[in-house]
Amino acid sequence: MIWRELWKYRAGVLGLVIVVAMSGIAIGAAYVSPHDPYEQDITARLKPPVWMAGANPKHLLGTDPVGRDILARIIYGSRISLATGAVSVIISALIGVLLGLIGGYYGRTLDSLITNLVNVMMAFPFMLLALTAVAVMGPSFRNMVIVLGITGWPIYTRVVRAETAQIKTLEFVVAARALGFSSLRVILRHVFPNLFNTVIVTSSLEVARMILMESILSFLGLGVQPPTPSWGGMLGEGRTYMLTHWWLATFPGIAIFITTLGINLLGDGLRDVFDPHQV
Amino acid sequence: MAIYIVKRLGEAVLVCFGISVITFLLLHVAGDPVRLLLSIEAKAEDAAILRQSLGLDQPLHVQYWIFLKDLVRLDFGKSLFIREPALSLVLERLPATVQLTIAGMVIALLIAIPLGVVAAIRRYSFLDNLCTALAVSGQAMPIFWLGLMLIILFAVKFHLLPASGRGTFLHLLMPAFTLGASLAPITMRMTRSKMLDILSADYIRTARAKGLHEQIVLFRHALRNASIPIVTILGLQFGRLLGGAIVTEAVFAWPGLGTLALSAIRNFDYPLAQACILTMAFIIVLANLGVDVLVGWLDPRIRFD
Repeated sequence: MIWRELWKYRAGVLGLVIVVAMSGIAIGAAYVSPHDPYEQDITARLKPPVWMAGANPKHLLGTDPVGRDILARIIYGSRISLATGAVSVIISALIGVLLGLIGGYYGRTLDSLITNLVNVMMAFPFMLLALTAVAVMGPSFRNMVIVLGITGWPIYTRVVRAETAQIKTLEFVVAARALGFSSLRVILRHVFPNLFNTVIVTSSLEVARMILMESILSFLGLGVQPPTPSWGGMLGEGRTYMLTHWWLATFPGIAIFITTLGINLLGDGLRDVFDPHQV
Repeated sequence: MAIYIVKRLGEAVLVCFGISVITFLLLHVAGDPVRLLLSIEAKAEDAAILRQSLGLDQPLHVQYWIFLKDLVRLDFGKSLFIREPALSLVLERLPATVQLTIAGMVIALLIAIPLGVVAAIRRYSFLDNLCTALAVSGQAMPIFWLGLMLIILFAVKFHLLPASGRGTFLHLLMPAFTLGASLAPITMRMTRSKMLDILSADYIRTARAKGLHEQIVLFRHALRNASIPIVTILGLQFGRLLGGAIVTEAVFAWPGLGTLALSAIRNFDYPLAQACILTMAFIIVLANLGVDVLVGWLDPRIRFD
């Protein structure tokens, strides 16, 4: 019975499997990884993956210019990606949902102020804003997460504001207000639970976008700094050797692709589960 | 229509003002340009002199006022390194970015609209599922990685296309495809879902019942109505498209606004970075305004909302 239910959402289940697997790899990196991601082996530099001629069987996906194991760096890189996605989404969802609730519930001046702020933020090339902010604050993992967190909120505000304004007019909210409940109680107990699903779906899709942003920032040298392994950073390093050693710039990209694909599938699946009449 | 345009124009001006405030705060409050420009060993006196010569010793609101006054006169100051007016540097690079963005958009539409229409007509067919799978994978694809893979394949392995730079039509192909591939998935999904909505509408049944040719029903009745939400989504995605252009330019060493902005940001050349950010934001505002007007013209109901 349950399997038939799940089969309906097979893409979402596949996404869930990928996300759980990636999280497991990130948490248990020390146990899964065949090598230390920082360990340099000068005698085995730029080794190709095992299935190619001249490979070193100890290094499954080959080694980088200083002889570090690529598979190990990809496994440890998952920590950076998933941590960035999770933390920056929590920050931006908190800001965005709060502003959306305030704007949608109270309306009037406060609402138009917030709406205009959203419009301004939406008109910025998000990428350029994040790049500049990270450069100005100094490129580091912490600053990157903060910047992604505080620039990513407008999408939540837009979604939450529209739904709040709609829910506010429904009878149960009007009834709660007529009973004399405080605004805070109405918002937290009556409005917010009804848009929780929307926030979860938006957040899950945003995690994927933030992971892509992290990889771009690190690729351009403005995110996580070497020698910390990050997928974007590895692609940036691999780019220099692209003409002769293609695998350096290939495998980290596959890792990014599979992870964001999994998260997107899960997010789409959650939307179908929460909102069945859209299917 | 005139009232509608004036209203949208007013909003656009407001947004531009907000953008100028955020850009100013970002570059003057979040970081100290003087500290970033000088080396760590620089003496305090030197820092003070530089601060004064750049006008950074003034109170913040005075600095912003000067910044805004210059902005209105389109004076973005001089680049700190190239010693030329920032605006002329930006304008020099702008055509390359515009070319790349438009080419990317055209490629995205050429891929997305036919696939979206076919997927909607043959709903749940193998082709439809294939299109959806393509769109889902496309959305998860890191755009710069796609660019790198294209270079490895077409420039390094097969020697078919130039790996970087701008010049001939061949130079444009890979960057434009990379950028287009980032926009195509969402456009395709939008086209498909709108076409599905429309194809089940009463007027389509009427058109078919009249005995109209299926092509006329599809293109004149269905696709034309689907074009409004498609145009809207393209407008909303424009900011993301320009963001993608920055990355694409970085991958292919395309001499546009993106590479200029990146080098300005890396060198802490803040007048130039400022000029790049404001120009891009202004283009996005302009594009959104254009889309609003276009949609208002296409669909009169929107004007009276």
